[in-house]
Amino acid sequence: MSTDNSTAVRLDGITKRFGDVVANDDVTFTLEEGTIHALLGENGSGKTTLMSVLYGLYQPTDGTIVVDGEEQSFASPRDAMAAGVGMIHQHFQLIEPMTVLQNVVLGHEPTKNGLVDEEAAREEITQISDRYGFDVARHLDTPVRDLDVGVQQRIEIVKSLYRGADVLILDEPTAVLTPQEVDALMEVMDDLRADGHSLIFITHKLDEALSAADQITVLRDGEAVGSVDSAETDERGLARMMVGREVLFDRLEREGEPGDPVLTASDLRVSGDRGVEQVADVDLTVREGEIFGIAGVQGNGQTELIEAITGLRSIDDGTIEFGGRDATEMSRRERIESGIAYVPEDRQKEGLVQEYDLVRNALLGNQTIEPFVDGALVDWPFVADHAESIVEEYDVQPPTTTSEASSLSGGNQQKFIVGREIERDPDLMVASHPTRGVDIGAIEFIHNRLIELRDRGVATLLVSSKLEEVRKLADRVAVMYEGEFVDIVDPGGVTEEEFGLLMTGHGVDEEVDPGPDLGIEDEEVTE
Amino acid sequence: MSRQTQSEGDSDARPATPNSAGTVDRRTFLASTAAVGAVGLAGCADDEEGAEYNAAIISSPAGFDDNAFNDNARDGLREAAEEYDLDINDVEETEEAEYESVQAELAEQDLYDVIVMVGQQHYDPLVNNSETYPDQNWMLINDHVEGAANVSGWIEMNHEMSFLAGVAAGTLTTESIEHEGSSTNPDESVVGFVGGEDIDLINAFETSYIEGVEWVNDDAEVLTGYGGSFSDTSAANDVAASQIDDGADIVWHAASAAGGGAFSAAQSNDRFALGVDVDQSITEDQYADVILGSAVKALNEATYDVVTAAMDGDWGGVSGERNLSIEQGGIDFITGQEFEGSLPAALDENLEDAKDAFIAGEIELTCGPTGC
Amino acid sequence: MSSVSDTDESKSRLERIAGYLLDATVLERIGIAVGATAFALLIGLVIVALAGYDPFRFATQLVVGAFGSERAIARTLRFSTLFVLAGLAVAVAFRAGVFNIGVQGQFVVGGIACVMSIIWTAPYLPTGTVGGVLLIGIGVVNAIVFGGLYGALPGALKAYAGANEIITTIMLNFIAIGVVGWLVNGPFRGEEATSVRTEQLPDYVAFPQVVFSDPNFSVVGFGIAVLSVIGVAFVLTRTRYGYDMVTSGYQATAARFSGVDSKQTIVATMTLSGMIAGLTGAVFAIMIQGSYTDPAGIGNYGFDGIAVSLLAANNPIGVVPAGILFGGLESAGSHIQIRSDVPVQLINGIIGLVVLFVAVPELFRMIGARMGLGGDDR
Repeated sequence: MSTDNSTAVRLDGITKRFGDVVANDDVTFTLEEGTIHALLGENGSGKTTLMSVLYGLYQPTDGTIVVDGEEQSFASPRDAMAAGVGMIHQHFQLIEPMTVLQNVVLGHEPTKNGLVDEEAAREEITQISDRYGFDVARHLDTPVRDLDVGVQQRIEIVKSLYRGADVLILDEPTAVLTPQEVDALMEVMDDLRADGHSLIFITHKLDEALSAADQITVLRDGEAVGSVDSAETDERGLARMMVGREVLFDRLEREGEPGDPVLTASDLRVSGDRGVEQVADVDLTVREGEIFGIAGVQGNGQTELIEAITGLRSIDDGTIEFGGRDATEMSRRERIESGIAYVPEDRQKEGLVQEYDLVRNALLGNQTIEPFVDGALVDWPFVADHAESIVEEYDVQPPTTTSEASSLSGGNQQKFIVGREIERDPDLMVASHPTRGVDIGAIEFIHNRLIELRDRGVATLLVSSKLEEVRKLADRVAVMYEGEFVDIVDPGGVTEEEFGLLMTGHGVDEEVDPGPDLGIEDEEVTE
Repeated sequence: MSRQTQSEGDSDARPATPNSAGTVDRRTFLASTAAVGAVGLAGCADDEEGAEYNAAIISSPAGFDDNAFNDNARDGLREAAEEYDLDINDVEETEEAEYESVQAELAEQDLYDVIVMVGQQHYDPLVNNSETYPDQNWMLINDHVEGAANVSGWIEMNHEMSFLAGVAAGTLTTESIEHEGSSTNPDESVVGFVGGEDIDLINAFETSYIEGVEWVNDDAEVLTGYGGSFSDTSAANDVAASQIDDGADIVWHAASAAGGGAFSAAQSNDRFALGVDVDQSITEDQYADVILGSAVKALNEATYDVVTAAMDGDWGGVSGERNLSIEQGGIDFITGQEFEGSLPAALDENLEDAKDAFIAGEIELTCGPTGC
Repeated sequence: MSSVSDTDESKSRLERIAGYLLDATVLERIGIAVGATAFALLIGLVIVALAGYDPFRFATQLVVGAFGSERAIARTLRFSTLFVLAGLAVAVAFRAGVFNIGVQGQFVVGGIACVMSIIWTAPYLPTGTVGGVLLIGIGVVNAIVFGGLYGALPGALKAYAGANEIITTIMLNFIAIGVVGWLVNGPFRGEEATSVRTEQLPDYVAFPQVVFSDPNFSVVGFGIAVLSVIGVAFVLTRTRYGYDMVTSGYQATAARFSGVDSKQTIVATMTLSGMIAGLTGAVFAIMIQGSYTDPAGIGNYGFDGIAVSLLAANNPIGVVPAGILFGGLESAGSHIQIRSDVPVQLINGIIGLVVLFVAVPELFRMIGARMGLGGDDR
């Protein structure tokens, strides 16, 4: 940890209101020069808002920003960049069809005689790239869309450095990476620190904050709970700060044995949105009272597999059997009616209609099911009661069914969806990333509900990119890589490191090339 | 042609552009704001109540400012307003379905000495309204209501007018005419006809025109074509230009506002054209150098006669079925402004022969005034 | 419905439902619409004054022309009937996220189907009231069927061939107007007709004259419009089919998640929209025209319906006040045109201002939503 006393950034008494909502309440935050400072907090705790204030995206309602000893008032990110503050967003701000070179220099093109001096740009980018051991230089003329996520992230970093950033804000940078890539990122962060840069690392993962950062500031409900040296705390301590109470992380042992197969998929082949095969010859069986986990880095075919099983995507080949019936040709609606519940990967786009209140959202998926409907007529009073009972049972905050779904925080949206899907009383629960972007309290709650479901004898198919989640909940775990199951393992018998290797396509016993550039595609295709 | 009246100074102040005619869509915002500007510049006075006489005129679906049919009818009223203390209310209604209620509303005001309706589209509603409002005098152009004494129904002998245009074209194509770069080809007798929409009414124009050409010139060839629209000048231009390419040295059009396209085709290809309905060398004066003459129907004279008869209390003299014809003097062919006195004498001779033959009943046309 | 024994409880449920049907944003939108209309008219009056006319007289005539007499009210309601129906046809489609720009074409197809079916079957049915009612029924049903089919066509093209419905419906407007124009001038032209039109409907095929005595308006026509609105509102808010449609409009991905077959829903939506457009055509033909003329010269009710729907934020209930507002403006325009010297272009320009102020912001909002613009949540 650096003991340099000069302060790179000081945020003093920052308050940011959106109408009646207080996103940041009198937050004070200090980033020492040449250090990594983690900003830790649940989703909706105000981390991104605070950094958006620093980056000039929002103007604070109150408070001051001091960068390099000078008080600043940023009207836009352009001002912030001019003061040496750069931000790498969770969703990369890259223009996919343009080349790496074009993306990096965009808006800051060096010119010679009024024309873009491409050579100068090329040279400078190569210099930056080499300095931190990035393999960006050789991709300079490749369109960004052809590169995998890890490289794209490094391009974002190069872009900020190219623009002269001394202070780098990284917003949840590890969310899309494999464990190996996370390690590589940590090294990059170390190098940047060693080179005198100051970094702010936004995360809600305790272990990452602990291993990467010199200091950790915890935000809760828009307020800074406290700042600690990472050497002087541990996961439990941080978790307590984040949620205000102790949280259990241990694997829960199950009682009873799984029963008969509920879902059997054989020789499944599925194509993605671009017509490329994403699921290649997968067989899987999920039994009564069993949680079958699928681990893997996002974009290795999990989405397509799940959509094929839930009926949202047609398959190229193979069969799906559900509850002893051939379900291969069943429509999405028939699958819902026959007892498949689905907590979708994208809760905002799929799981909820953002502009509907919770009553109308409670009908989503139940449109053909009695007693929600009586013939063609919707029994709204019944639906309203149902919505109310979900809100009550699943502790949705605020506890009212008349607010629009979009007004709920991510965790509460997810609790509502989980509640709605569980209350369908399914035979098969398909849960895709059920706790993504959800705060710790809600994670625990959702986990418990899934376990209850399992104990009631429901078959569950769980997809998650969070290893700890799969390990904690699943009875068996398939690791998916490039459309195939690399292996199906007992989660208790495999270490996290071994999982990481499987997720990059290597068998547990294989020798591994620890290169940072492993083929991962960004498959978050939106329509 | 157009003359100022007190209450309508604004309309006349607007520049006459060939393309501004045609259907004015309701709520065509940009066009309307342009009009607002034009009106603003004209800065006219508010209407004056209490003129001694009142007349109303309802447009055909094409609307006013067409430099032809509707304006021609309105001009007769304006001429009358110069001599009488007459207020004219011109009602532009482009929607056929509204005619019944607009007619009724005007009649209910119990104000107008006569209500003039332009176009046969007014016929069906008028059958009811002339009965519902028996004390109201109506003038219908292009049709008449059987047995309604309060209706003065005028049928334009379009076929006679077309015949005269044919006579003129058939005569002039054999003559050698040169003017400002344009010329005829006296060696060949090819003339053109450009129709608007391919409908019965215009088909009658076409047939009668051909009969006129052949009456005076057996060897002549008549090229015919339709632009498909009464407002699309470029389509009319294309048709006329291709006829000129094929040897036509004179084209006549029956394409209403789209006819400007036929004139511009003649102008850019150094040939000539003939106008229709009114003296188009005045209304389309940018083409005066190629408009040898126009086959005209003096609708303005008819409206003038009817409105003055109504004001003078002589309705009986105009009521019932009326024809706007060669015999009555309402249909003629007149020489263009730039060609007065310079066209060959054969033209006048042939036209006079044709008119005499009509009056004597010697000419039988295949088509009637509105169809064949 | 549900098995509720406690009346208090059921009452509170009803209130709850009413509460979320009429939430604040609806009230806000009404406020915006009223404010924008007033502002647009204010600007219109300034323009009237600048053009040299008396704005106070113009304003008075605006009110008098819309509601000042029995004739004015009948005329307002006549326009409103068509605006409400056409606006409803558009709103159904827009609400479900399908941009049916083809209401005009469906309106024309429905109108000619209505007229011709009546003319062809009239000889086989008794004359008089009984025959009239039967023939109106036949005409209306045919209008709905043919309008619906003409709407289903671009719906199917979109769903199963990926053809952009905005483009196909615009093309189909031209086709409908062209083909029907040819029909009424050719094979369907009435024998005794002097202008381009079909035969007249028999005298006894007309809506009864109740309350108002106006040859082109009957309260029955307006009643049909209001009943249609109630019916559509019921379908959209109370049935699962309506829920499927509206959900598709709000968020297609969520609709798919919930088991909605997006292709079927697109076709169903376009069909329903076309059916209402066809009904509009029938009301227009029976109540106003009494025959069918060249559709090129018929009012652009299908396009006006877009503005009405946008003004109503595509809410079927909102289409009623929006349609009456447009009907009032149109009616006042007609009155001013007849009773004063203000030229028709100026009146239409002012109506255009109202459209611009009131409807266009909603249009931009919809286009933005369709293209996925606008900020992320949080």
